[in-house]
Amino acid sequence: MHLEFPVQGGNFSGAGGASSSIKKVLKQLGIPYDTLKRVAIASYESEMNIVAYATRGRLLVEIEPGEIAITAADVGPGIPDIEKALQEGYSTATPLIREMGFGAGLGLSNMKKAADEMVIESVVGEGTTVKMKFRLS
Amino acid sequence: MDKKELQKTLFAETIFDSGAEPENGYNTVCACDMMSELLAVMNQSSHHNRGIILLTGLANPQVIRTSELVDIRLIVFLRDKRPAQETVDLAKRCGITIMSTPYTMYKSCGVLYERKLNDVQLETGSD
Repeated sequence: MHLEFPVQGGNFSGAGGASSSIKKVLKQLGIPYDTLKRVAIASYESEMNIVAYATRGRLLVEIEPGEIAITAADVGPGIPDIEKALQEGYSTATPLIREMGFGAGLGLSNMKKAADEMVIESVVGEGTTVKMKFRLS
Repeated sequence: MDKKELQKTLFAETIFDSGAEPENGYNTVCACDMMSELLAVMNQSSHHNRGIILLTGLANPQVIRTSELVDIRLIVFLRDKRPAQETVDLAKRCGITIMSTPYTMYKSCGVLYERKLNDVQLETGSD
């Protein structure tokens, strides 16, 4: 099964809507709670990253027997130093993002911990793609 | 602890009541202002989250959305904070009960600790 959700950069009031829809679909499919929770956390963090930093993006979901893959692809500023961005506590968040309860420098790290596999590809000035895989527990 | 008891313990006012109660009542407290921190804790949580009470000083829609995504069904806003209508509407759509207490984070945690409510159990073995 393939699902795709557009995510608009800067739309804080709608942020999380795509992840909420993904969670509902997975729940209806009977995905185990532990996997459902990990996918929801990683999907939401990646959605918030698009809203907070990018111009626009998409969340793509591939559901296969035994595995769920989430890809968060955006058009935006890109990440100059991926290793640094993965360090807990490192953040380039604006005060607005912090007011929303994000920007603690935990987003990418949370995504990495929630997923079984995570790959980040980024081109400065063009955008970022984060691919995550979740094995069904 | 049920919602009525929680309301009495924290001198809280219910802003929206979803009508739902978890099977075994509310037995766990998570006190958090940063939503990424809440997600990090919930990712490590070793139990189902429906019996968790979230205490928070944030009162924006992202608190509701974050709670929905990690299955928290009761939020208490601290220091008499009142969420905007947009936040209340989202809580209604998500079926999440929201309350407001005059207590600070420290006092709320203290009185709920006294009432034997638990911390979130983490898979790493932290207590």
